[in-house]
Amino acid sequence: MTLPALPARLLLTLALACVAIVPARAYLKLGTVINGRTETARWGTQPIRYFINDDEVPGVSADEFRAAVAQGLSTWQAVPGAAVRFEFAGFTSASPLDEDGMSTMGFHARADLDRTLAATEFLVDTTTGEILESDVFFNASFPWSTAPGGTPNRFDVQSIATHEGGHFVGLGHSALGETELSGGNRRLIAAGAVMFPIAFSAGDISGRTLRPDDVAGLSDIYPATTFRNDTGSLQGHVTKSGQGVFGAHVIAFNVATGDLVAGFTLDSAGAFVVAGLAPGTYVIRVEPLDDGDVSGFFDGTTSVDADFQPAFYDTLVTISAGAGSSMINLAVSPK
Amino acid sequence: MRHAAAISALVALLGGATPSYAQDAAPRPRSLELSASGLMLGGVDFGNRNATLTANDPGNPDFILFATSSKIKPGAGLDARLTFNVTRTFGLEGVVTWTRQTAETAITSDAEGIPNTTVTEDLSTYFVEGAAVLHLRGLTFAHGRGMPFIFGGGGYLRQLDGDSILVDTGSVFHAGGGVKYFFSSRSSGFIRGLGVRADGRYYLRSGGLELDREKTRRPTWGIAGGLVVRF
Repeated sequence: MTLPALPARLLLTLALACVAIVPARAYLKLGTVINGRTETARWGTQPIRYFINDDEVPGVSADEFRAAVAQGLSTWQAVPGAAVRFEFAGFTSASPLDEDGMSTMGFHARADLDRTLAATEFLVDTTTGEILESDVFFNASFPWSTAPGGTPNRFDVQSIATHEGGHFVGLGHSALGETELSGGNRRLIAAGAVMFPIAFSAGDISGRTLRPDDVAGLSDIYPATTFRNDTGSLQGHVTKSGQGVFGAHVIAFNVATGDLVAGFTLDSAGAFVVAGLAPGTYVIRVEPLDDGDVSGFFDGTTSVDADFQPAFYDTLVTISAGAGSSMINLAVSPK
Repeated sequence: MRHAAAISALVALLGGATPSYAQDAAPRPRSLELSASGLMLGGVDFGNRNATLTANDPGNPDFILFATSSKIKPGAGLDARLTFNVTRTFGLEGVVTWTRQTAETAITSDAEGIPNTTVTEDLSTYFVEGAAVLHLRGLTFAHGRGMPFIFGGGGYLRQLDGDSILVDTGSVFHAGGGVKYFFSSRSSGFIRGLGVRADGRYYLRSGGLELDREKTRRPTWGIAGGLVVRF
């Protein structure tokens, strides 16, 4: 993950470095293309075991790092609609970026990645989509903190571990956020998901708390027994001049609770599905993907259409438990 | 239109075929009454809610993506009651009510400049209730043809959206009062009387479309007027 605003320099980053990633559906989920079909990347066995690299950085001991990472992962483990468990397997001196059969998290100095706070790599079985190994490195070139309330001018390990923890289990980036360009870099104004690719400023601990979009994404990949029956989905198409729009960001706003959950159109027909929605009534908003680098969401082979005006669907949409919405057509206009 | 035609035929049948006499708005014990009324059901205001993101600014934690204000607008419908008059004063009713309403959310202050707009959804609301009615025989008027009454009851609420997808179910209670006026009645025959009724009700409903987090009983009003047939 990356990011934000240091006093002297704006850090923007890219959180994700992975092997064979393809967006699958909403939020995004990571996936692999197998024989022409997309398989969601997910762990096949649980608990998911991880090692902690024993390197330390100023202000953060290995044990403090381990505790902060465990807190971040436990946030995901506590999601009621999901069934995912983690297990600390021990300390190791192995690098977090070694392909060695061990999923390792730790500090690693990469001064050349001056906009990357942390990144996650995967080893995925390309015949099944199963994640075999996932490593997370935290860039030791930045100042870090594990203080309960955060430390000014230091990035919060737990917040970044929560974000990378989402990647670790197969979540891609969320586009629920607003940014602005400043000096050629993108600065975070606000985020509606831990999985937004640009981090809060140093010292901020807002990234420790999952938002509904994060919860829906995790639950969609690792659904608890009742999840499919307890939630519904939104489905439809985004079109412009009669043609499907790829990469449009579709936001569902629960009018009663204020929850925001979003997804993308992911094919040439502009089709989208946003799953994991609590039953209720929703306002639907569509916007172009213009608050982050496209490469942070999709691989380089896809062509995202961001040339349209944001808009609201003109009808409130009811989502029932265990069911999908009727197909909705969001027609947008060119900018 | 079909309902109106059927009611007109009934009026013609009764009014043309039977002489009216011995006007009395109080029912016979152990008799039945059927009423069909047009109904105007009040709306519900759910207030305001913002779509917020967490701002990258500790001093100002909420960033408003857009603001909303939601309500259900008043709507028209039909109310049918079958009354079993236990005594001349007291009766028990089965009630079915249908109303067509519109839920709407006004959207303003979009962070990316989308013009203010209102999004809507059609709703069909059904009440299936049991009720009790008390005829106020001491307050008859118009030479006994007219009589006030009070009533109250409760039951089941079911709400469907414009695509007939179930929105939610819930419960509803109502209480009200009104008047009946019988312009034709007789002491024998299958149809014993024909009149009109008008009433006002106060509803408390829970469940159904909820556009806020308040899980509470919501008050609303209803006014109805229609025909009543006594058997």
